Amino acid sequence: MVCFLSTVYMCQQDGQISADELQRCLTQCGMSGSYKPFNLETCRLMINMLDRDMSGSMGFNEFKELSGALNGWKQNFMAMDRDRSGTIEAQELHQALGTMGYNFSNQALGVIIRRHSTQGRIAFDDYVACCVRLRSLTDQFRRRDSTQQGTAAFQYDDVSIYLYKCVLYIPRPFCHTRN
Amino acid sequence: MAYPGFGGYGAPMPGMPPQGMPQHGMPMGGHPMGQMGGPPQGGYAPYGGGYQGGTYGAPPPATNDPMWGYFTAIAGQTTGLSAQDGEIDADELQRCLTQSGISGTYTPFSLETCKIMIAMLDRDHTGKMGFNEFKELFPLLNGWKQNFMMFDRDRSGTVELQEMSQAVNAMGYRVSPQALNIIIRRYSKNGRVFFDDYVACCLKLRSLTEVFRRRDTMQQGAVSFQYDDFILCTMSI
Repeated sequence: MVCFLSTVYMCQQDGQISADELQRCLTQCGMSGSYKPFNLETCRLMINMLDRDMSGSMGFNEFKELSGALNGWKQNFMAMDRDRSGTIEAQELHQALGTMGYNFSNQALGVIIRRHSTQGRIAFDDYVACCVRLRSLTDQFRRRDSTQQGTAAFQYDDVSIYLYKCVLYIPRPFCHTRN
Repeated sequence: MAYPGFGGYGAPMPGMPPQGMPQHGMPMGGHPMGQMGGPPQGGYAPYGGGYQGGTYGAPPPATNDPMWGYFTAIAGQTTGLSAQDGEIDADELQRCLTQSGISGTYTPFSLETCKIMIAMLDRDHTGKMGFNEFKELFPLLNGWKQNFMMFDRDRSGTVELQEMSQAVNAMGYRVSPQALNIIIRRYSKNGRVFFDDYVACCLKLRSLTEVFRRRDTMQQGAVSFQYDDFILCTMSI
């Protein structure tokens, strides 16, 4: 509860929480448990994931949602990390994704696993980053899949907004590209 | 045409070489060069050398090539293969780049940024970087460093709000102060954007633009993705 309250306080100051503020908050909460604290990039991803209305802010309810998701992912990870090494194997990540309901081709799986592993193993932080990215990207995709058939059209402007959301983040009302 | 705003990556800054141009004006690995320099023509921005497709079949690097030296020092040791066949992972790339001093007076690249570098150039999906990919990386990094240095006028090693505003405008985007504030907060450490994070942003933008370009075969400014392909493209970055 202390963690929630301190986050609410940070949010109320200017309606926004930055990645380094989130990192500090999650570290203070002990969210990572006995695993290494989240790195800054992972915190950025978390903020992007939750900012669906592209308002640039993460409020208290969004933070609650994040905490719920993080706890769930941590439980899954700990269940797989039986030897308490702090890492899981590629095969275990593959299984975890299946359990979450994802059904990717071997090629896509290969890309996902390689991107998030270090010397063939996946640390907790990388696991969370992977889950957050998948959730965020799938959300972006679904919003453009009007017939829900698994196909989505991206306009270049959509792509630039999407790129911004995942990279630089510029909310649509504030961004005007030159013609 | 449908691609405004991305020209900044290819367009030369006044007095600056276009990004992606090799330092000494020599072709990269013998492959045909893309459109070099000049203002972007709409469509996808010219990326200069090294972005024209695979790097296979390139002639072997010259033995006095300093980049070869950095690469072999790391790749030869760990793979046990000849350095020319060897590939390096993110950890080894980080060491290579640190040794090469490419960051100059800026802090060396983080492991996460090195992973993004490998992902961007990893066309054969090995998860590692070979020498030709390593060579392709250097002019890009130098170009981005030149841009960053132009905006880091006080040589603090970081870019502040007003400097970032200029950098973003130079890339071809008009962005409001509120949006800039959001960007800075998202990518800053204590309110400033470090060189490493700036490069990570440039890498990701470039990768995603390239992904889009490759699938927009009709050059219409629109791509229809299947979900699996979409994930495959975007999760690697």
